[in-house]
Amino acid sequence: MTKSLINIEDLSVGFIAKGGLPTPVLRQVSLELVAGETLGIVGESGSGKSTVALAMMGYLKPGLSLFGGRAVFDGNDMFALSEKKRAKLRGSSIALIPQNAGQALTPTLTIGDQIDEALQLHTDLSGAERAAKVVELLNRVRLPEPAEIAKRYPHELSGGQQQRAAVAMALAGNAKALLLDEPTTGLDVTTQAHILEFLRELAREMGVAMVYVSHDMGVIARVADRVAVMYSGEIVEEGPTRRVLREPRHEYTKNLLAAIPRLDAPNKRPNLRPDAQQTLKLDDVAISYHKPGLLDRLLRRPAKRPNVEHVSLGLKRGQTIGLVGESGSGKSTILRAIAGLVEAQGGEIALAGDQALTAPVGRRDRETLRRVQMIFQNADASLNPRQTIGEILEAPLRLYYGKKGKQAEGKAAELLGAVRLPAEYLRRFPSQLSGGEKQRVGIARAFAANPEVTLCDEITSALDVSVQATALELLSRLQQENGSSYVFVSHDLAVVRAVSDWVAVLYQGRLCEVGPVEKVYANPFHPYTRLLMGAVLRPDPDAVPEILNEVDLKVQECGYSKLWAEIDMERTKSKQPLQHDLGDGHVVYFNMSPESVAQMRVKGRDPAAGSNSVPRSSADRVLEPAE
Amino acid sequence: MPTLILRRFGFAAFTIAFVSLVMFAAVEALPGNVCTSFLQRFAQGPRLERCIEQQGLDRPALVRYGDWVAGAAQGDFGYSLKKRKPVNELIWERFRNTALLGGIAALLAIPLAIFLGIAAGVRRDRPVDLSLSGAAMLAMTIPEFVTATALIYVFAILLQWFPAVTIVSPGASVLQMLPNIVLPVIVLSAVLIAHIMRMVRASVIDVMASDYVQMARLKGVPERQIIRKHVVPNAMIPALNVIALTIAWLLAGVVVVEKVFNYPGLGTLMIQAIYDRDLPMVQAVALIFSVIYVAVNLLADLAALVLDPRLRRKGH
Amino acid sequence: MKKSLLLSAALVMAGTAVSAETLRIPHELGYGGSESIDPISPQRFYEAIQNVYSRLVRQGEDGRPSPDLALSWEATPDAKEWTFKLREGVTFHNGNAFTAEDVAFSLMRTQSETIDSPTKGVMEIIDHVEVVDPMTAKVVLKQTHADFPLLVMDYRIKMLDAETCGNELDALCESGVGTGPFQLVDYDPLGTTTLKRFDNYYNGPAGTENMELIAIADQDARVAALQAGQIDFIYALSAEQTPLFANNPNFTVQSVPTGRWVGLVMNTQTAPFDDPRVRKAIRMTADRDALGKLVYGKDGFITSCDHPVWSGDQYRADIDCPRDIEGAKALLAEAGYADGLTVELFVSDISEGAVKMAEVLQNQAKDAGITIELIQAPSDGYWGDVWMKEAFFATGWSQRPADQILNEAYRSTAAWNETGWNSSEFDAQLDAARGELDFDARKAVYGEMQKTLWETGGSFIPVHLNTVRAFSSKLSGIQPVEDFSIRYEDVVKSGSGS
Repeated sequence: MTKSLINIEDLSVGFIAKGGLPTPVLRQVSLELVAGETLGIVGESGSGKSTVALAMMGYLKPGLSLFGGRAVFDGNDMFALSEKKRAKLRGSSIALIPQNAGQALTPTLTIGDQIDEALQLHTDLSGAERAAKVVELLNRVRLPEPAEIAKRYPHELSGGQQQRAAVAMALAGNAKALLLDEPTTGLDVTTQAHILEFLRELAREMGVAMVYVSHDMGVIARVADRVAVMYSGEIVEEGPTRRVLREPRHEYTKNLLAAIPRLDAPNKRPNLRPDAQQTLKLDDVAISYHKPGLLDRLLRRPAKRPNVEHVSLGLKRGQTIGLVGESGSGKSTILRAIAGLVEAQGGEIALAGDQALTAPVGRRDRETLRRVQMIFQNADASLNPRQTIGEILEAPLRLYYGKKGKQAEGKAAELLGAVRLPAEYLRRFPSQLSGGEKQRVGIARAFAANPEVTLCDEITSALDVSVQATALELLSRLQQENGSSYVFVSHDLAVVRAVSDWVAVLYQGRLCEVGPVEKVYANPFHPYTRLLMGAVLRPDPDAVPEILNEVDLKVQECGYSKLWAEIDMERTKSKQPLQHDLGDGHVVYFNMSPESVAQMRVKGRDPAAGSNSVPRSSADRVLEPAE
Repeated sequence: MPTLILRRFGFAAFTIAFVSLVMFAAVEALPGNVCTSFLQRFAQGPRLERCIEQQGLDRPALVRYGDWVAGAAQGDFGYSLKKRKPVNELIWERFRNTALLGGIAALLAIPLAIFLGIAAGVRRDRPVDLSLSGAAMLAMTIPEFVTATALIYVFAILLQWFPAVTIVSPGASVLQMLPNIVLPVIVLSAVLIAHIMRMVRASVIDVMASDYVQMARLKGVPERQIIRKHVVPNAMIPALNVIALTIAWLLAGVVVVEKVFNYPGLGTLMIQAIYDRDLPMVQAVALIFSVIYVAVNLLADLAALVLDPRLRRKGH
Repeated sequence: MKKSLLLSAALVMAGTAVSAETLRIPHELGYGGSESIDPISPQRFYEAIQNVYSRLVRQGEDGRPSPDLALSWEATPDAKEWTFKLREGVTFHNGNAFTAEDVAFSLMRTQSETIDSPTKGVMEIIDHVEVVDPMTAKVVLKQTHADFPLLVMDYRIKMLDAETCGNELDALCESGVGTGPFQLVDYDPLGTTTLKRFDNYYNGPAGTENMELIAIADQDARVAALQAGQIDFIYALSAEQTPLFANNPNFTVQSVPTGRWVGLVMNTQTAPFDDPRVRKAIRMTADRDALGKLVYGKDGFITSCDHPVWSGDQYRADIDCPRDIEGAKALLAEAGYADGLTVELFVSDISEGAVKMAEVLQNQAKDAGITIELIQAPSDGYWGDVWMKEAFFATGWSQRPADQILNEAYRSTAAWNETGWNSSEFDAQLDAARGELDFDARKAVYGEMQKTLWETGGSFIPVHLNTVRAFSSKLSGIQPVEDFSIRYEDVVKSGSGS
């Protein structure tokens, strides 16, 4: 049996709460990792997964203390060592790749300086040697023009680039083990896929052991050899990835896996009623961030292209349309334009009865305000911490229905009941509620106004998987009861599939494909849609995300922009892209002739076939337009 | 980045021009005119006429403003009523003295304050921090003239180590000025240090809790190096603006301190001019104060550009 | 830091060693450095001039002209020609002899248009000066003035050396060469001007060897400097500052009467003040002693009976002016105001205590049925908008000799005739006094005028103000006389090293 590189033995960690009560964060956790192995630690928020990972370095967040047990790395009892010795090991033998690289890199030092610092501490290289090594490391993480990047500051790099730079920094010390704390959170789907692939190969090349901490099963499925599932500070299940995911033994693991929305799972929603009334319409909407200033007007500079262009969508009563896309796609912008928080420069946004939705929202009349409501991503930030839940819910009641006093209170209690929260919560403050409960209050508040259109801006992205499932189920139920319509924005395609009737795929502010959700997901036509679907990670150890091959990895940083540019060249020249109607409301915006579109295939994947085809290895995935 | 710098300069210039207009208008708005305010009971007959002629009050306001601004740009601020001399003959020595006082106070206070602020922030809530913060609180709440008077009483009257008031002429050499500067500098520095130190401390505490400092720790960087390379540069950025504001406060504080110590600077000149109703002098000194204020803020902006790479690309 | 500590310690030590024989007087830098050593300059540096030059006549113990550079003087019966016999053996600091030529020069230059001295108005009465012989000067006046020696007693009419001043009648003479007890060593009005004892001073060497005149513009700073021992003397202490030195054995405090006054004046040409009974009634309601105590403190004043001649003036008349409410009421009834009278009084804090004085009078006048409504005017623009424009207003005057003040404020043609006093009798009396050579007769005339002002005048002048000064107890020889009369050459400083 190979000697374990990392050995966590019965580790208990916690903090002393007010009143002297010791509150545990980790309860007798035991884990093992051998060299070259990749361990995944999965759990929801509060499970203690980050704490375990950091403990492997002998680091506890300020406020935490060791209650018992040991953390042994490479034969060293990390908590028994002096701070000096620990510092020597950190960054050299065991290195951390942080969650949010943008925040973890010092803003006032160049990338090169920061990597150089690590080299100075952990190697004996001379100044010139170090400079060369910096370039080499940046090259190894596949950053283009490494010498240039070394001179830049962190804020001058994109999210993905920052993450790679953080990896390079971690590799500076010839680490034996790498800790990765949610390294791809916040990155686009496609970028995430690339980074993970790259990390996998790195692990193989260098024989480095890796510990992955994540809440995303899809990520874990892709990279980990073994997985440990944590709940409430304890390890509830552990074993080889394949086994745990295919045959979970613990209840919690089973429930967790069941709650994850699957990209491939067909939508179980009731059929679309063709005679439903139109409730929201967007007609050739264009939105621009750049407002021409005085100087621009004086110099008669031509107006820049709007950030969002040519967006036409329709929504019927009782239905949900999902907007998907990556960062920069404009999906949130469109939502905010409907809400009146940004101004649309062109086109029309209208509610049923031709009520135009204008910006700024402050100028809308009360009735219009009532008909369009919004639920936000971060419930923490959208609930006033100084108001009770009751006050928060009574505000819209008072504003739109003039309800006061006992009447308002009664209705507020009703609303809480509808989101399955006890009426006594009316007297509580947001800080006394959990994340999921707060989000439910946000939903209740939106429904207090009884709106026609509810805008949902990534409302489940900040929630744990299990809580997410509850929230989505709640939304569906409310929709059935009240007949309201949703515009649902998310970057998570699987979630969108679960809740939407229609879906619109956006790229860089323009529509690519719109249609009934089943049709689009089963048979995506637009190359971008396919790219997106292919890159999504499934919690299936055998599933391989479809990404561009090695050759095109270089240009994938902004997401296959070169490829896209080729296809898009026609479109940029003409004012409006060609619209291809594929029936049943399924529309594709694409500047190739319909025949070419019909013939476009991904090698090895037939768009006409269903989703159950067995994908092959990623090496021969190439997107090829037909001649 | 050059455009950024040009912009800042442009804005500063605009501010000064605006202030000069406001000041001129304010003086115009006073009842009577410059001559009647000054001469008071004697504002009649040939004396009044001579004064009006000398000040050019028979010309329209706009013309006078233009002349004044044009003159001021070249360093000519008109004619002092009380001293019967051109204003700039009187101003520049005083300016040197005030600059000496303020400059020494700032030069002493800022590095010391930064050092103390870092020490307090890094050792938060420990004895070092508690005593420094307490002392700072005292220095900030006690008015300068109280501190000044107390210092005079102890060091000049009781111990007789330093002169209580300055009795050298404004044109005396810097060497002669120095013993007179000690007590005023102590008073000014105390308040400066208190304000700046607290801001630096808060900034340091903030930065110490950031992700990148934690990352540096986990990279194995020794604590001293963390403070030097990672904490201090980032902590200084927000502190810079406060430092600029405090230096601007220095202008006001200097006036009080100069008066108490009879120090021959711009402050005492201003007070005396107001007392004498010598409006040309008041205008000139007020303008100089604003220029200093604007210049200090400009410097702070430029320093921020140097320190914080994020500011260098507009809107990045 | 340590270095400058040692440096300043050394400086203070050095200063202290010198101070045993150095009298250090502050001055308020009234002209910001443009001070002139020429005594008739509009920006004369008073403290230096006081000690560097001498006059023909100076104040005696009784306030009357007494010999200084002129030993005796006599006038023609028409009081138009005055012959001064000069003191012999007097030299200027540079060795030149003092002669009648210097007298002629010094007197005539006061009339120069170019110099435009504030003494011009008063000195214009001189027609010319004849040099009878080196020790005799005859001054010929344009008109009668029986009190001419009083005019040349003015602290500004000092004798300059004609030769050193190049005999230039139309230019300021900044030579600083005089016949006074001290001579100029270093002239630095902005900083410290040093004077040294003039050993050949005709009246014997001065009490201290050196004198330093130190510029300290701010009164609070002067107080601090005195406390710290940087200066030896301070004048014009305010009521709040006096306690700092009052009970301190290291300092001596003197309260000295002066001729400064603050008053409330009525325009005698405007109703209801055009009736002298009304005027007197208002003035009779005042309890001057109480008023003085309330406004200026126990030792801050000397009462006066509504005329501006002060207690130290040789022509001061003794008048009794007790408070008389019944008398006031009777007068008012006579004038037709049996039911009381309401008037408006305009005040501003243009002079120390003006507003307070008005309030006290308001209170006291109530008892006679007189309601005084106070209207506070802003001090900015008071002199242009209120003074001499309203019917009843506050005013303040600095010290002036009797003849000067009576002429400046009460002659019917005077520019500053605040009360609109128009009495040809009064004018005639003014001229008569000037023509009367006999002192007692003259005094009687002035006395008459003062009584007239008490009986029928429009000025309410309840008190003359005192000035308070403090100085180191090491000094002796400072007489309790008003500031202009201090003889610094008599001051002795006992040195004991600190």
